[in-house]
This record gives sequence, C-alpha cells and structure tokens, in this order.
Amino acid sequence: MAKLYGWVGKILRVDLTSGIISTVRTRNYVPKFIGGRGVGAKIIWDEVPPNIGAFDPENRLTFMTGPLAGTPSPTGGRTIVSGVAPLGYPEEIYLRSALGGHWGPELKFAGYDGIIIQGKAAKPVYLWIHDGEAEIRDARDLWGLNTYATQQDIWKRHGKNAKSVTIGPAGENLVRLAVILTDDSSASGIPGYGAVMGSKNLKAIAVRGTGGVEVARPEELFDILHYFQRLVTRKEGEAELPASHRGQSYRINRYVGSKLQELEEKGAIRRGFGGCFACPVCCGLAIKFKDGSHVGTGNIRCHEMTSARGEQKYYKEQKPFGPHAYRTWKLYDLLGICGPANKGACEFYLPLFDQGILNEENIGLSADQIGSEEFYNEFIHKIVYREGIGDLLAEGPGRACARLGGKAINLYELFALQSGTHGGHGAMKANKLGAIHRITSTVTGLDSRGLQSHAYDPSNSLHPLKIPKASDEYKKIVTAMNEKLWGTEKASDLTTWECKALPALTIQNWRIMTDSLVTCLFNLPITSSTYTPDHMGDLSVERRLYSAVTGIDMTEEAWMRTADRIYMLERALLTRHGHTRQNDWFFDSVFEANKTWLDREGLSKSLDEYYALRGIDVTTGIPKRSTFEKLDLKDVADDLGNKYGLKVPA
Amino acid sequence: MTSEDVTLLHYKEVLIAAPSKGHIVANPDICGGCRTCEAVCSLYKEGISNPELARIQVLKDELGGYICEPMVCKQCDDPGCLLACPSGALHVDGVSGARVIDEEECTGCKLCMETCTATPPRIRFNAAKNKSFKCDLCNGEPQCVKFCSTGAITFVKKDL
Repeated sequence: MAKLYGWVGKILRVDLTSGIISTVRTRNYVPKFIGGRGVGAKIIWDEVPPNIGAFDPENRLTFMTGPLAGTPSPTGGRTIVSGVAPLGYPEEIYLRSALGGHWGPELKFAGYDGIIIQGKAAKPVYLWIHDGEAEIRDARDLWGLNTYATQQDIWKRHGKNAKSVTIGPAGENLVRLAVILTDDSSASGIPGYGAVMGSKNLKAIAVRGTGGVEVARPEELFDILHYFQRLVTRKEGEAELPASHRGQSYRINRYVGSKLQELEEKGAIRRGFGGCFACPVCCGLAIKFKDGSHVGTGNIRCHEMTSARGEQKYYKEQKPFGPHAYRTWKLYDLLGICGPANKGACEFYLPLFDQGILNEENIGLSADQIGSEEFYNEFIHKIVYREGIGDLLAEGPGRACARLGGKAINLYELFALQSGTHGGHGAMKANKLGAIHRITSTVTGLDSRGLQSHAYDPSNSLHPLKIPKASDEYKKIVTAMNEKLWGTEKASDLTTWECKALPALTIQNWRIMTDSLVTCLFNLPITSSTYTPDHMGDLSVERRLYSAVTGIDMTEEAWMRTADRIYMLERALLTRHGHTRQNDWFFDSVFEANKTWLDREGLSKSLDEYYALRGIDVTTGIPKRSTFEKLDLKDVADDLGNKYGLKVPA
Repeated sequence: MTSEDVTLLHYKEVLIAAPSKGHIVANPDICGGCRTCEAVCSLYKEGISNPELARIQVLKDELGGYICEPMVCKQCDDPGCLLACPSGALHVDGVSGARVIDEEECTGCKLCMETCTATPPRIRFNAAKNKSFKCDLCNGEPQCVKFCSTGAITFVKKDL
C-alpha cells in the first residue's frame, strides 16, 4: 500500500468510561473523505445513531485535522470538531465547528490526525497526549478554572510548548453555548461542544509532539507557496505597491483598525498580533494598555466583527468599540461561552431587554443598564453559572425563547431564520443568493461565512486603495468573475433568482473542501486577486496544495465530486434525523421581514433547481439512491433504507 | 575561495572569523507568531515539516498579549560557537559567510550551544542524529524570510 504523506496515519480513540485508549487507521477514511469535516462526518455517521443525544456518553466528540495541518500550507492548521450538538434545536443534531490556533498541528506532530472521544469519565479528567502516547489524568483540581488558568496550569505540568483545548465553567455547567477554546481565543463556537466535553467530564486535551509531517513533493509545495504569495499576500518592498491589505496591514486597515491605530499613535495603547499556524493573515490582535495590562481581542472573525457590526445602543463606548468593550468580551473567552461572535448567542439576548421580556424583575438587570461593564459581568455570569433565569438562557436561544413565549418566539425566528431542526444561527446574507445558500447548507449559520467575498463582494481580496469598492472597475471585476465561474453575469445580479442555485452549490463545495483540508476561508479559495492583470483568482490552489502534500493528484472534476460526496454524507446525517424539503425553508416571519426581496415562489423554484443539480429528490428533499451510488456512498443509501427505515428515492 | 580559506582571519593580532555577508533581523512588534518560518525551514533543510528541526523558532505567549518573538541567529562577528567547536565542523560558508555546521564532522559535543550568547541558544540539537544544527542562511536566500508574510523577519545584507 502506498505510503501516506500529509496524514500521519493514526486517529486516537479514547473511551472515557472504560479508560481504554486505542488507535484507528486514518486510511479507513482517507483519501475518500480527505480530513477535517469529511472524516468527522463519516465517523459520526458510522458510530452515532440518530437516537443519541448530545449529552449521552455514546455521543462522539471528534477533533479532526486535515492533510495540510503541520505543513507550511497557508492556514492549513485548523481543526474540525463534530458530534451531536447541544445547540441543535428543537432536537440535538449532528453539527460541526472549526477551531484554529496551533493545537491541530501539535496533535499531528504528536502522531495523530485526529481524536475520537467517547464515553464519560467518572470524575473530571484531562487528556495528556505526547509523542505517540496518551494518558487520562485527574483534573479535579482544574475543574472550575477558566480557560486561561487551565492552559497555564497545563503549562506548569507539561511545559510551555504543550497546546491545549479547554473548556471553562460554561462547558462544565452544560451551557449549550459553551465553546472549546485554545490559545487566546481560537474556539469551536456555535454548536456548544464545550458542553459535550463537560458532559464527559473532560476538562482539556493537552498535546505535545516532537515529530513531523511528511510532504510528498516539497519543491512543488514551495512553488505553490510562492505562487500563493504572488496572488494573495504580497509584501511591501518586494513587489509592486500596494502591498497586500492582508498580512499585518490587513489587521490595521479593517474593522477596529482605525480606532486602535489612533489610540496607539497617541501612545495610549500598544498592539500585539497573533496568528494560527502557518497563517499569512494573522488576524489575532491584542491591546496592551499603559498600566501593563493587556487583553487579547480575539481573532477577527468574532470580537472584531462585533466591534464593527455590533449595535451602538448596546455599548457605552462609541463605535468602533475600544478597550472597555474588549475587556467585557474577554469574559466570554475566559468563561468559555460563545459570545458576540457576529450576532452570537449572548448578543442575541440583548434585544429581549428592549422588549421588556428580560427585565429588572426576572433577571435583576434592566435595559438602561446595558452597555456598562457591570451589566455584562452580571449578565454573562448568570448564564454561565445558571443563576436564576440565567439557567433558562443557558439552554440557548431556541429553548429559552420557546419557554419565554410571546414576542420572544418571533425574535428567535428572525435570529435562527431556518425552520425545522437545525443547529446553526447567525446572519444570512440578505439577498437571493444568500437565501438559497442558507437554506441548503448543512450547518446553517456557519456556512454563510465567506459566501459574499467569494461571489459578489470580494473586498477581502481586492485592495481598497487600488480597486475601491465603489469603483466601476470593482463592479466590472465582480461581473467578469461571475461570468467566468458560472457562465453568466446574471449570477452576480442579486435581484434575480436566475443562476443562484449553481453558485450556491459551488460555493458550498469550495467550503467543504477547505473545511476538510482544513484551511481558513479568509484565504482560500482564491476567486479574485489584486495582482493578476484581469484580477481573477485561481481556484486550483487548494487542490494543488493537497496534491503536493499528499502526492495524490486529482482532476478538478474529481475534486468537486469529493465535495459532492461529503455534502451528501452530511445530508444523509440530516435525513436520518428526519430532515426533508420542509426543513430547507425559512420561518414565515422571515419572509414577512424580508418581503422587499424574498419571495416564496422564487425561492421554491431556486430550490428545485438546486435539488436537481445535487441529485436530491425534488418532492421529498431526500438524496436519490442513484446520487449516493454515483458518489461511492452505496452503503450510506443502504443504511438509510435498511437500518433507519427511510424510503430513499431511486 | 573555499570555506577553509575564509573561516578564520588574523586581524590586528587577534584571531577572528570572516564576517557574514548578511543576517536575519526580527521585528517582534509585527510578528504574528504563525510559525510558517519554522515549518518552511524544517521542510527545506530536513525534508520534513517539524518545528523541532527548524533553525528558527518563535517564542510565544498568546495569553500574555500576543507576544511573538522570532529567535534568529545573528551570525555574530565574534562567533563564540565557531571558536569553541573542537572538531572544525563549525565554519564560515564561502558563499554566504554564514556560520554553518558540517553535519558529518559534528561530534554532538554541544560546546557551540553552550557558548552561544543568545537565550535560548540559536544552535539546536538533533538527538536522533546526535548532531547540532543551526541557520546557514540557505546560501544567501533564507527561505523563512521569503515565506514570512508579515515581514517580521528580513534578510539584511552587510556592506563588506
């Protein structure tokens, strides 16, 4: 059998009930499912039947890296966490989430491509994994500590080079918004997997490895890295100006940049930068205050997003928010709860104060206190420690609003958007492409990320000084890009339903592959570039990275077929939970609130189109047997029929 | 000129090493600590991506305000490592002027590491091979510098 490159070959299995630690061959899952998201989905499909709840010991929590982790491939060090998720609503359901930092590569240096956690420990424990060995250790003295104190304690025990993923008090208290956090603020957020770790009495997974990751064709990899730099992250001084607005200048230019830069120039603060393994963007940012204190503001996707997009009325500071808001948000990280996170769950509760649904009487806090540090302190603690009505809010927006009733239900619907059982939440891109993309995504809220920049607003890639967003050139580039990608410029016209299903599907597939490698959507795929003559990007880069690292060559067709396969496997996971066409739809209130652009008839036709492209039965929304078979998933179709008693359309 | 020719020079009665033609300079203020340099270095020099085998290291404290500091060899004008090496393995590279270790001649005595004035020493040890290893400036085109996307490490050439 050919030697494996990229993957290190073993997945660790830890049964916390019996204490038995074993390994599974990575080869059982690759190259068919690549890594990360694909392998995670396959393990859950194989091992967790649909009657298992998030907090059942039989639930699996998988941490999967991909073949690129540990190599210099740009942003390749991410990890996908999957399992039955606490935040699934109305039912707990399979979901996934990603985390960055340096933990995933460290796991590979220790000899493992991933970890499967199952069972439940009798008392609090943590895992200590080092160079091919794994031990379950007593964590009673770590229980109750925040996420930073836990990591620091682990450094004392195992050295500063040990990397940990940890939960805070939120995970211990089974708060359905609990995250798993590593480093300053890289976290597996929305699904609430921190509570799954809590339910298994698992406080942390600490890893240290001194091994390496073998690359099949290093020279080719260096060539691609160089090409990537030319296309995406040019540096000042070595190339035509302007230098990339990614890299450190990216952090300075966007979102909070201007305000913090101003403060730094006045000498009020200093900034520090941080990045995940092998990331050319390094979006992490810390603020260091004059008194010597400091606060990590997290990576751009969460706190900084909120800084730019959070509603002014909920903060005492003027936008973009500064040190006070950041200190407040830091509490989310320390206690291990999904906080502002671009319309995150805690942030969701704030409008409930406006409506008087949460008030002085039931939570001891009122709307006019919102915005002060004291308010957030009180509010977050009540949820994390399940005090009073915080106990209900800790159950997540869906469950909490169902109990609160009345207007809360409407607010929840406009927040969750999609009807039926699902697990995601978060913003939908409010246009026709965003709508069809959203209802057909396998994890709703998370998957909308990146959609915009890849299809119709590539301001992440096009330098604002060279190609300003309001310019005619910018518009021309977007039109040309859409025409090149999908054969018609109509794709970029967000006012028509014409040609929306194909872009939605394609963008989902790109995301599936980058989630399986596992890379960050800030960089890949490259749909446009500041530096090419026609400003088009190159969609082959991630596939070529994969080939250079693993030595496995794939045609573009085979690449997209692999994405189709992983999508269909995820779809089967949802189908097994009773997901049908009815679930690929919005709440009535969402249509009502967006009636200027969102119509049922157009969306329904677009959905028909989408199903036809995917090979999903248009009437039921269940994938066809022929589709499963074409994608080498015959066993999945068989299981749906025989094991789970579902009628799979021919 | 062969490497032996330039390793040691007599200057004003003192034995010194020929100066390096350049060295890597780090700017911790803009380093993001992504460790691309470590992955690139080890893959380029050792054929495997393994930070333990990288000639460059980034010391980090994410929880201390994102402190990231690339640890680079200064290719000292007064290289204690070179002068301490009893086997002659440590010498001046004829092309780049870097202070380099001839792996075949290295006996693994670690004297070079002990003499290095930097903390941690910029010379590291490969226990599997029982050899020391250090930055050799990749023949004057350091790969870590090439692939650092933030510009936190740069190659500064010396006017000789």
